[in-house]
Formats: sequence, structure tokens, C-alpha cells
Amino acid sequence: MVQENVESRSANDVTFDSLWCVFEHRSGRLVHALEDVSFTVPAGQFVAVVGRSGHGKSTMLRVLAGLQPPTMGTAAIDGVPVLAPSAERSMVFQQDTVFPWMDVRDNIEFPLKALGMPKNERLAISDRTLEQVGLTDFADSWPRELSGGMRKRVALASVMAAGSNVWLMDEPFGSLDYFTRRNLHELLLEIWRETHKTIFFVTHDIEEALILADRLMLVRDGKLVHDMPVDLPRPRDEDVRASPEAVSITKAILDELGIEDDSSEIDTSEADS
Amino acid sequence: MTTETGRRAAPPEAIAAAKRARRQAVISRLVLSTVGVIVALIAWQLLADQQGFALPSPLDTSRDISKNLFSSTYLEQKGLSDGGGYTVHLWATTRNVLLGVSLGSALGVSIGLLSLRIPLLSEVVNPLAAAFGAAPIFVAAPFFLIWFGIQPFAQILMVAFYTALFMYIFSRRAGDNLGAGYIESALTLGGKPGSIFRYIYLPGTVPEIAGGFRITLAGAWGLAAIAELLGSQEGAGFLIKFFATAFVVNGMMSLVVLLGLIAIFFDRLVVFAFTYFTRWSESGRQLAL
Repeated sequence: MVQENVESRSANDVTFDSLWCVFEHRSGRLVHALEDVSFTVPAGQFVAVVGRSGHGKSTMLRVLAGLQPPTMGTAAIDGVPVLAPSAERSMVFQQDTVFPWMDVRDNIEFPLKALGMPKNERLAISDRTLEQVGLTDFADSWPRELSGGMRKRVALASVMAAGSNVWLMDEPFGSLDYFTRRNLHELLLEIWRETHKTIFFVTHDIEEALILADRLMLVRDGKLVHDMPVDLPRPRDEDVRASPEAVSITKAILDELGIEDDSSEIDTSEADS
Repeated sequence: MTTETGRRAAPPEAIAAAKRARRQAVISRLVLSTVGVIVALIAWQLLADQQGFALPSPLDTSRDISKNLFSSTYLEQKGLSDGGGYTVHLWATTRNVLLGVSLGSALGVSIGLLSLRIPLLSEVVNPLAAAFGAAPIFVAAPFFLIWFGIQPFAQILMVAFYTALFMYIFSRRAGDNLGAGYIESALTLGGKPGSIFRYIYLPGTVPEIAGGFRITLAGAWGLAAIAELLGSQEGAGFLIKFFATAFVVNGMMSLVVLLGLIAIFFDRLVVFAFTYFTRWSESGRQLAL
């Protein structure tokens, strides 16, 4: 049973309102990382942001995190514009950002130390969080002594300890093997079901998006080209993901992202011959 | 909940083999170090045999050291030792180095790390560091002599000045090389400038600063000796200069060897300390090697 952690902040809706993010390349060319993106995500929703590499998914998360100011438009949490990074919107990065100079417990306690929380309170929270992510026996380990999957658990635990209501996850499991990813999917879903956090999960893996999300945002060339619910039953095991509904969602994603369906290519060539 | 943390205990044979391998690695290192020292001594002896008076042999040097280290009739006759032999002058150099390096490191590392948070500071300090860092000690020393005289304070200040320059550059580079991802992650976990400086910048830059500190400390012994050589009334550099004018080659060689041994001793102390503070990192483990 996953318990609600720390002084949880009140649940918040996330909105993007006509948001643009434009960069000037060294060559002088303008790059539209995000182009007129608008949406509202109610509190507690699990959103997968899907798209090809370099199409603006991570920029969307960085804007939400307050790490990237928009060129125009606003990102807001419960109507309050996002202007700077905050523990209200914690992020798990694609690269390994677990602090290697802190042991596992200190990593988890970092957001609490930043808050100035007394040691005994920190200890209680880190104990609970370590148990939730299955790392109790590794509290005193250095990150270099852990596997890639365990380090992702530490990153997740830090976000949990921070008490954020909005979790931003930028392809967090992209570098892990299939089995470790599946374990982490289960862990993340278990925590999400219990805590009802709003999660933005960037991925280019359609299967991962189908396993996790109840809403898909498809991003292409910086535009939000499709925003669809995923009404598949949970848990989304292999049978669910092979169902006609799941296949049709997959085809819709491939169509929207501009990827040709292999089967249609074969059909066409056979017809031609 | 599924975890990938479950591990079977290794069989005793595997544990014993791992310990044996570790022990062998340590022994190999010790053997190699010993062989290195022996080879250096043999080479020194062979060179001394060829050079004659100009280069004392290891045996002559060790005799000179044992005769003059703690008390030296010769130095007392010349009024250069207050009953303490070479140790008086070696202590003066050690004091100059330790005080100068401590002062300079504190200043250089503080400014280097603070400049990461205060861009204006780096804009001011960078050109100064580049300009003064390019000035060799032979250029800077006369100014220090004019401003501060031949008191130990001048030598300490000169060592501190160069140490601060080098440590500023090393710590600045260490901060720049600290992954931006760590800072961004800390920010989204609620880190404020104070907590990020204390929990991220300070510990995260230690391994790279440690490497720079060892280089700076090693160079500081030479700096201090040159500073004493250029204008001082005590210290190993001052005594080497005196011996050179009096053709006391044995004494010169003894002081060079003793200064080297002291430098090695302090380097090992630094390694010991930094190995503890960087025990979390691979580079920290490598530092001890």
C-alpha cells in the first residue's frame, strides 16, 4: 500500500494557453519548438506525450517545469503562471540525475533539506519512501553501486518526497532494458493509483504510452496534433494491448505522427505487382 | 511489487577469490612502487659515479642528512641555524607552503564557485586571473619584495597568490563541468540557490578540485623555494642559494631530497583526505592510486 507522502500540495489543473516556444539557431534560422499549444489537464490524469525525437515533447515538459520560459502564451497550474522551477512540479530526467555524491537516503531527503525540514521528520519520510520504491536495504548505498533501474527508483523517490502534485517524466525509462522498464511501469502505476498525481510522461515508445496513460498527446513539429483519451481497461497486459481498440489507437498514433504503416506498404506493393 | 534488487549471496569461494584479487592488486602496486624507487636510486648512483663532485651519490646525501638534519655545526658557525640544522629551514618552507596554500585555496575555491552563481564576479575575475596567471614568479617576486620586504609574510603571500589563481581556475572549471542536469533536477526538487550551492556545487566539484589541489600543492613547494631563493632569510630555498654560492653540493642535494620527501608526505595526506570526501565516485577511488 502506497501512502500519501509529505505535506501534499492541493491538486491542480495544468493548462497551456496558446503557448509558443521559438529559438533562434546559430545559423539565424528560427526553430519552432512549440507552436500554439493549448490544452487543459485535470488534476490526477496520467498523460503520455508521444512524438518523434526533436519534435518538442521535452520542451513542453521543460516549460511546465519552469526551466524554459515560453516565447508567447502561458503555462499555468491552477491558473497561476509557471515562471520558475519549483518542487510543485518535479521532474525525472532522461539522463541520470541522481546525485552521485549523496547516498540513496540523502538523495531522497534533498528536497526536504531544501525545505529546511527537521531531521526526524525527514527520516520518517525517507523511510516510508524507500519502502514504497523497494530500496529500504539500499538506503546507505552510493548511486554508483546501484543498477540503472534502481537509480530510476531513487529519482522517482526524490520526486515523491518533494511532495509535488505534478510529476514531469522525460523519457525516464528510455535507457533501461525491457524487463526493468516493465517493473518500473508497474511501480509507477501503483504509486499513481494511490497518490492520484498528475503525470506528464514523455515517450516515443507507443507501447509504453498504451501501458501507462489514460490520455495521449501527440506532438509533431512542435504542434499538438492529436489529443485523445485511452479508454483501455487496466491492467494493460499483452492481451489488452493486442485488442482491436489498442491496435486502432496505435494506427491512429502512427498516422498522426507521419509514420507509414508497414502493412499498407506491403499491400500497396503487392497490388502494384 | 517487483524489484530488481534481489541478490543471492556469493559462494565463499567467489568471495575468497575476489579478496585474493584485491590483495594481489595492492601487493603488485607496492612491489612496483618499490621497484620504481630502487631503479631511481640505481640511476642516481650511476649518474653520481660519472659526475663526481657535481652530483653527490645517494649514500653521500643520506650521510649529509643524518649529520645535519637536526643540528649542524657548519650552519651554526655561519649563523644560519639556531641549533636546529636543516629542520629549521625545512619547517620555514613547510609553514610558508601550508599557510599560503590554505589561504590561497580558500580564496580561489570560494571565488571560483561563487562566480558560478554571480556572473558579474567571473566577468571581473576571469581577465585578472588570465593576466596575473601568465606572469611568472620571477616577474611577480620583485614586487612582493618591494611591497612586503623579506619577511615570511611576503613568501606566504606569494604562494597564496599563485595558489588562489590556480584554484580559482580549477574550481571554476569543476563547476562548469558539473552536469547541468544535476542543477536542473535540484531546481525542480525545490532547491534554492543556498541549498544548491551547499548540497550540489560544493560536493559535486570536490573530485575535480581535488585533482587541481594536488597539482597546485605540488607546485607550491617549488614556488615557496623560489620565493625564498629570491629574497628571504630562512627556508629551504634560501639555504640552497647559500649552499650554491659556497659550493656545498651535498647540502643542496640533501635539501632537495628532503623537500621532495616532505612534499610526498603532504601529498599522501591530501590523497587520504580527498579519498574520504570523494569515496562516492570512481575518480575518488582512482585518486588514491
